Amino acid sequence: MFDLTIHKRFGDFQLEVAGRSDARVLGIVGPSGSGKSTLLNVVAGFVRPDEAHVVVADQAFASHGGPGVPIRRRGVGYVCQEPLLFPHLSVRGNLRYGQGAHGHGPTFDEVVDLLDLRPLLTRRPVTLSGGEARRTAIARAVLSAPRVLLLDEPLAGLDAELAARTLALLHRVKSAFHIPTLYVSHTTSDVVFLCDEAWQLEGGRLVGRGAPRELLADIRARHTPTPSDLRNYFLARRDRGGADGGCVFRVGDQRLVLAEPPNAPCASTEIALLTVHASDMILAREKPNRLSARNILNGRVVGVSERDGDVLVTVDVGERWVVRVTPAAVRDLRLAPDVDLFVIIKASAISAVPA
Amino acid sequence: MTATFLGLDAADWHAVALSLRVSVVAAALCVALGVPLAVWLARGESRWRFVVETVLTAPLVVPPVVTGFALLLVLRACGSGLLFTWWAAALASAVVALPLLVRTTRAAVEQTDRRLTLVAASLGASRWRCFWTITVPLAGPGIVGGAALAWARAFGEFGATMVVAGNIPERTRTIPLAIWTSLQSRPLSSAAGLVIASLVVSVAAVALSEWLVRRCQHEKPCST
Repeated sequence: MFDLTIHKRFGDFQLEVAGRSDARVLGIVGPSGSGKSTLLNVVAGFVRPDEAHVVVADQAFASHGGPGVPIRRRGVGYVCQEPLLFPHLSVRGNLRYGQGAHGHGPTFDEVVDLLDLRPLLTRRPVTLSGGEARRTAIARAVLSAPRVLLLDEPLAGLDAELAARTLALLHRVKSAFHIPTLYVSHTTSDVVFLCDEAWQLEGGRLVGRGAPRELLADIRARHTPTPSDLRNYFLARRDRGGADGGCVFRVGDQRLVLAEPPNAPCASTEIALLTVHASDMILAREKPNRLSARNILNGRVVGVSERDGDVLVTVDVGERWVVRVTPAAVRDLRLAPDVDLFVIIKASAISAVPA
Repeated sequence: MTATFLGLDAADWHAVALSLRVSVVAAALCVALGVPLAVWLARGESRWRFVVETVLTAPLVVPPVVTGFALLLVLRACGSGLLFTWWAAALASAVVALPLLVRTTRAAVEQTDRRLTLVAASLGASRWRCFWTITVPLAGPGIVGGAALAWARAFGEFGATMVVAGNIPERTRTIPLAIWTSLQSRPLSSAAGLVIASLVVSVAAVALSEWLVRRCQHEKPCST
C-alpha cells in the first residue's frame, strides 16, 4: 500500500525515512518536530523533497531525482488540524469543489449523510463550530475520490468529546470507503484505535514500526504520556437484553453500564465509540461487594510497564485497555502478566458517541 | 463665445470624455496584466521576481516624463503607430499606474492563506482554476482597491502622456493637459471648471471603490 523513501533537509533538521507497509491505515506517530507533517506534505506534493520515492496504492508520486507528479494529479485528500475550508464558499460549495476529481468515488449524498452534514449545506464556514468544520473538511477530501487520505493530526485541539466524535467519523469513513490513509498524530490512543500499523518518528528518523498496540505500549513506556495518550477508545454494541433496561453496552461477553444521557447516546445508536480514561479505572484482585461503581469486569493482565513512578497496566477484558496505577499498587496486588483481576469503572466515567 | 454647460465648453467636455476613456482603458490594462503579475510576485519562487518587481516599481519613483521618454523609445522602436493617439495616452497611464495596482494586489494575495490554494490543488484544481476560484475571490477587496487607485492615478496622468501622446485638441488632450494649456494662455480662472470636474470625478470614484471594498470586507466572504 505504501512505499516511502524520503530525504528532506530544512536547515539543521533532516528527514530520512524509508519503509514499506501493506496497512490500509498507516499511523505516523512522534513528538512535535519529529518530521511527521513534513512526511505528509512530501506525499501530498506541498513540499519538494531533496530525494524521494513515493508509491501509494501502486501509484508513483515521486521517483528518485524527478520533479514528482503535480499536486492536482496525485489524488490526495488532505485534512489537517485546521479545516482550511474555502471561506467564500458555502459548505455545499466546499464539498462540490473537488467532487470526483480523482475518479469515481462515493456519491455526494452518501458522504453528506454518513458525516451528518445535510443541515449544514447552506452555511458559510465562518458560522461552523470546530467539529462541524472538521467534518466538512473530511467530507470534502473523501468526495474527491482520493487514492490516499492524508490526515494530519485531525483531533488536535479538540476537547475529549469532540475528539471521540471525530474519531468515530474517521472510523466510519475507514469502514465505508476503504481509502488508503496516512494518519499523523502525536497522541497514541487514537492511533491504536484507528490504524492497522504504526511508524514512530523521532528527530526525522524512523525509529520503530509495528502493530500499533505493541509499538505504542513501548512508546508509552519510554515517554511520559499526556492525558490524551491515556484514553481507551473502543467500539461497543448496545445490549438491549438487560433487565435494568438502562444504557448498557457489551464488551466481549461482559456488560458495561453507562450513566444516562446526556453522557450516553443510548436512544439513538446501536454501536457507539466508548471512551474510558486510564486514570478512571480501579484494579482489584478480589471481587468487591456492595460497591457504588456500576461496572466490575473480569480481566487478565497482558503487560506492565513503569516509567517515572507511573505504571501502565494493559488489561484484556475482551478489549485491551490501559490502566494507570501507582508502583505501590503493582506491588500490593502483585500485578504481572497473566494475573486475573477485576476492573472497576464508574458508569459516569465512560463516555459514548455514536459510531 | 462657445456654449457652456456646467461652466465647461465643448472642448472641455471632450477632454473629460477622453480622460474617462483613457483612464478606464488604462485601469483595465492594469487589472488584466497586473493581477496575474501580482499573484506571481506573491506566490512564485523565481529568482527573477526581484528584477521584475524593481522594473515594475520604477514608474512610481522616476519622473513621469522620464517614464514617458522610455515608452516613447519603445513605441518608436516597435513602429506600432500608436504614438500621438489616445491609445498611447492609455498605455502611458497604464505603465505609470501599474505599480499601484500590483503592490496593493500583491499585499492582498500575500494575506490570503496559501494553504487554501494547495488544498484546492489537492482537490484537482488547475492553477488557472485555483487563481479564479480561490485567489481572486479572497484577494477581491485588495484587487478592487488597487484597481481604483490605478484608475485614479491614470485619470490624473500628465507627464508621460504628454511625451507619447502629445497635447492634440480633441484627440489626446486629457483633463490635466487641458488645464495645463489653459494656464499657459488664458486667465487662471478659465481652468476652474476642469479643476472642479476632475476633483469631483476622482473623489467620487475613489469613494465608490472604498465603499465597495468596505462592503466586501464587511460581508466577507463577498462572492457566492
